Amino acid sequence: MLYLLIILILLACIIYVVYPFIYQSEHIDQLLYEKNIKIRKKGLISELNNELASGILSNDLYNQLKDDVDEMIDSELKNLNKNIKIIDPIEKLIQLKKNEKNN
Amino acid sequence: MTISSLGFTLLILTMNLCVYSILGSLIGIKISSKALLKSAKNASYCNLITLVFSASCLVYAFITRDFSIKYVFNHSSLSMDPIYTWVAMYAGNEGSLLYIALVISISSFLTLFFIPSELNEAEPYIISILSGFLLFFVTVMIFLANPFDTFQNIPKDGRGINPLLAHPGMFSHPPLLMAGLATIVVPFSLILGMIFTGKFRNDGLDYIRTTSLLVWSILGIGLLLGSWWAYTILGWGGYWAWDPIENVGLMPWLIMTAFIHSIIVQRRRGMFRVWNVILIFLAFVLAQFGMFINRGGPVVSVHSFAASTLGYIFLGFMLFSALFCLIIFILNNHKIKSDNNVKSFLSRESAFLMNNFFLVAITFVTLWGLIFPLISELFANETVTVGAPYYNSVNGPVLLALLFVMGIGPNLSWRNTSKENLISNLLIPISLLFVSFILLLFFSARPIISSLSISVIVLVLSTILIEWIRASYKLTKAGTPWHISFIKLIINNRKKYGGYIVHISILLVAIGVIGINFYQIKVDKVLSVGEKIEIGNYKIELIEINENEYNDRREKIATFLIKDNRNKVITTMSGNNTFYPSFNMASIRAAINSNPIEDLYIIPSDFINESKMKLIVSINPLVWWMWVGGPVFVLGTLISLWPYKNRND
Amino acid sequence: MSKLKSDLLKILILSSIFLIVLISCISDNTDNNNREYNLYSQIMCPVCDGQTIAESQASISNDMKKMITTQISEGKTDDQILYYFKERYGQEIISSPSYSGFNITVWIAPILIIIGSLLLLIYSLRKNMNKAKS
Repeated sequence: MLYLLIILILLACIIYVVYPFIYQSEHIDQLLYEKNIKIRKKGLISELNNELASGILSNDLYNQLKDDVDEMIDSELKNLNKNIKIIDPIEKLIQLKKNEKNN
Repeated sequence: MTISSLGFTLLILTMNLCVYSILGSLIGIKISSKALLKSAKNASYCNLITLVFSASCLVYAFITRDFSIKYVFNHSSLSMDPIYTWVAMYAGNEGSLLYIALVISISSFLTLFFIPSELNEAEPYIISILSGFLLFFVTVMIFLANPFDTFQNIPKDGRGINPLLAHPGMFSHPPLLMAGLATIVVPFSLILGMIFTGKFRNDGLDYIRTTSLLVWSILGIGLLLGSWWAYTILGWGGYWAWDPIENVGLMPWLIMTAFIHSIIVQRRRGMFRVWNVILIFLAFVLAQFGMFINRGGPVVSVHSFAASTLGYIFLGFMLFSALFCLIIFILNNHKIKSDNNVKSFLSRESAFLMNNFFLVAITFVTLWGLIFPLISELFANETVTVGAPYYNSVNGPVLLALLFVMGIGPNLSWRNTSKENLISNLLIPISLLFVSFILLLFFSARPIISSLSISVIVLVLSTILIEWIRASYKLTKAGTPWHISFIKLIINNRKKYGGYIVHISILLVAIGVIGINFYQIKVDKVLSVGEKIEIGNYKIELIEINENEYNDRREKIATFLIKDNRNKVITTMSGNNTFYPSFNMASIRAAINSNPIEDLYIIPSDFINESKMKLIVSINPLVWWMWVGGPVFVLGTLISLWPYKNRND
Repeated sequence: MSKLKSDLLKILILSSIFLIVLISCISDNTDNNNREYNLYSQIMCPVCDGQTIAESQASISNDMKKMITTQISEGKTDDQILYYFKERYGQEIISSPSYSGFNITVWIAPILIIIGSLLLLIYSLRKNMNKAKS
């Protein structure tokens, strides 16, 4: 009875681990990193707006802090390297094998 | 196949999955194979299944009283109340390792399942660290501390559970504490992952904030529960004894407190990046140090029940982690450094800096006290004890300074605080501090530090209340009462106001600490049945002494009638002194009558004969507030973590 | 006075009264027992793990407590009593290291290091602020 259990668990793990090689998933959006940085900037600015509205910040300080956020984000965008398209070598192998079969 | 061999096989399977997931992640990055990376991630997910089943095997063995397994034999018996099965599982060395491994696999799963896309590049490294940490525990279990080790000849009955552990606190304190310490690996792996990508950016900080807060609050509640447990069972020295095991649980929590605050600065201002890396490295290494002290036994402690000879393996792992962190830090220092600097002493950044500094200072003082006996033996050939007086006198003032910063800090602005803001925010609180300090100096017979502490609490409380009321007013439309706006204020500023509520919980704990430390009254008395004693506003009469004999213990119970100054009955309560022959250990339960003003705490210390006994009676003021701090802490943390609806990811 | 200010003042006065009432409700300390407990918390129980005789219920702890009570009634000072125990059981019976010899490092080292680092921190902050200004 317990032998059955361990075999089932073992099988489940093996299948789950091998699965990504058989079925390839979607590509990563190359511009995702830039998108995320811009979203973060929006979030920080809206936090500052909230604090200005509830009176915690003065106008001068708000402008100064906003400039600081712009500076911080700009330098991050500059440092961001654009990734070249990643070629998955195992995907390539599988494609080759598929092509051989078809020929 | 037996349950024990199933459990053990699953551990071996886990070990293999860990190795695969580490190698797969690292090789997958090298050859840029998305498939291999996903496969490695899936392998790490599988660890959840294998460990859940493996832990279930051990639980099943306990429930079915399978004494063929050594661990079950050592930590349960036929007469043990089944409700303690859960406790018995993690009460000993091997079982607690399995519990920790399970916690690591669960938190790894959650961390990776909810990971935001900002951390995609760092993910393989995060997986390697998490799996590597799990691998260590699983390997230790397989080769050195097997929970599924069996006997050749099956014994008929087990040894039973340590009587000191048969208390409600045992259900929650150790699991929460162990979970809190183990899950420090999560923010640790996230930061390391970011460093390994070669570009230590400021993204992913929201996720790091969330995970760190969860880890920190679990550890915090675990510590507070331990205090509560210690207080209600004598023999553990009140609510906090600066015992080595308590200290090694406290130190990572202090560093994590600094970390969760310091992360705020990195998120909003891009600063303190080096601090944050050092802080999380320190927290992780200290947590491993805790494991070593807990299981190694080079220091004497009340907590020695889980001691084993495994200590030096954990020492080795701690030294390895420390070395690893040091090398990573040195190699990547230039990438981590912030571009910005603190611009003014009167800024919120500066307050956070002082916060970091004081918390690290308290940690250092505690660590120094902990290892000093070893240093003294090595260098001066003299054995000393470093007890509570050292920690109280050196840490006390620094804790007070920390409380002060907690009050001042939120009222300073980012970048620089103008003089007008400074005065308008802090004039009333500082005045109240002076007024209360002077009043207390005149009317309190207690040491100056007690009056100073109370005054600082007044300061912090007034800064919080003033901010709340002012901000509620700003938000109020005509006709709406300001307490409705107050609720709206909390909902719209969950991070900030959750934080304030947590600060209030800290104040509540501080109030309890001041009460019991400076205002306690304690009396030793010998009493016969029918006799009364008077202490404070109470008249205590010993009504009867009973003795009960069970097959595993001998109980002596003393019942008291408590009346107040005007002879009105307050309550009847009893305490007991129980002896467990098979463990050669006595456990004492005090009789406690608790109200918000003070606790009446009666310890039945010695039963002289059937009608005479020795008591220690103490009045502990304000302790009730310390325990109220617990739920307030949880509430504040939950509010702080409550996500907003429109999260873009 | 604006409504905000008056409400604020009311709440602050109420909280202060609350705190003062709380503190004054605390039972008065009429007993002299604190000297005994002070001494108890300075002597470690020799057979327990890390407990002072104040917390321990072992019989040897109770004997030691009786000895201290006797010596107090004989008029001995705190120092004399502590010295008595140190002579018989060694320095490790005292719960805190003494203020002499090597042991003083346990007190001095952290205080020096904390003050030193604080000064270093303030110094480096000032340097960075001045650099930013120029």
